[in-house]
Amino acid sequence: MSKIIENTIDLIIFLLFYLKEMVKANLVLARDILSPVMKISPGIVKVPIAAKSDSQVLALFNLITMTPGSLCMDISDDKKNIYVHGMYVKNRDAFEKEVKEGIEKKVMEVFE
Amino acid sequence: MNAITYHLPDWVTLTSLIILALSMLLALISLFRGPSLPDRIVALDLIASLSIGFTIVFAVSTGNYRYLDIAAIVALVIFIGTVAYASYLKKKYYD
Amino acid sequence: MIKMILIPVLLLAGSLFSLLAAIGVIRFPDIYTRMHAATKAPAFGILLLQTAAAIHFSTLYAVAISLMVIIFIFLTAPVASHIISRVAHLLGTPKWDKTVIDELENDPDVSIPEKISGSRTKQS
Repeated sequence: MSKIIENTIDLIIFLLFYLKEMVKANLVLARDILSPVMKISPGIVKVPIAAKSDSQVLALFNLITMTPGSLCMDISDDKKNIYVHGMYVKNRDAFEKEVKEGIEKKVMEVFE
Repeated sequence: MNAITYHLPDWVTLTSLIILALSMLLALISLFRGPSLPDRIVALDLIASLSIGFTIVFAVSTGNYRYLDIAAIVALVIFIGTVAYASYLKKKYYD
Repeated sequence: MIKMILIPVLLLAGSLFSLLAAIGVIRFPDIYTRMHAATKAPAFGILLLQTAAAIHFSTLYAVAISLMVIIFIFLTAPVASHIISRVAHLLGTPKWDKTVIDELENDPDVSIPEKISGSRTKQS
């Protein structure tokens, strides 16, 4: 019983996190679109993921697409790497770290 | 209950509808202008999303909640439409 | 009355985000950046508009169908953008000049399907 309550609380926290990320993403997008000079530097980065099950991959995919400045493009055949199109890829390693630390950790916590 | 009854003013829904119509016009321009075929698919997807929004605002402005069904059906159909276009393009790549 | 303020704000904000998506699709230089505008902004706009409709009608039926539309949009928007960008990359749609890096190009981890050499081969 306590397990169910714990899972429900985790899910609610995850949904709130999702909502926050989405509002942030849309504000960043609005700034990008309405700024008179395009200051973006797009790029496609290959990110190794630790997600095992299909539901984790789906949640990660969904969250990466909805977070500011990143869009999921493809997944490799063995489901170990995922290709992310980013808006601000100034530094490749910094972008990869941002995806891994910020988003994947959160997903792995909730969907174990 | 409060004495003031809730009433949605007309200009709100009218302004929303005008904004949505303007964005649909812009999406149509990008549909004609798009240099490649995937660009056109993106524009079509955007037009479908805008029509969902249009239906919702129309339902609010007329006060008939049955119009929300149309929004649900369009939301169900556009996904299949986008996937069908994409697989058509993939087939074109094979040929 | 909180409804009096909340519903106009939600309606106008939702339609403004839809307008933002249309402007972004026109302004952005290549298809991948356009996909950013065409995936996030309309989904958020529909979320706001459906919330406004659910609060406006506030019947069980309206709330249920609004929730269904929101969940469906948020489940399918990433899948649609994934499938379009994958096909666009497969077809070799040109990228913007200022694209920094592309690690999907010629990567051995992703199997690119062989072109079928049938009777309908295109002559180029």
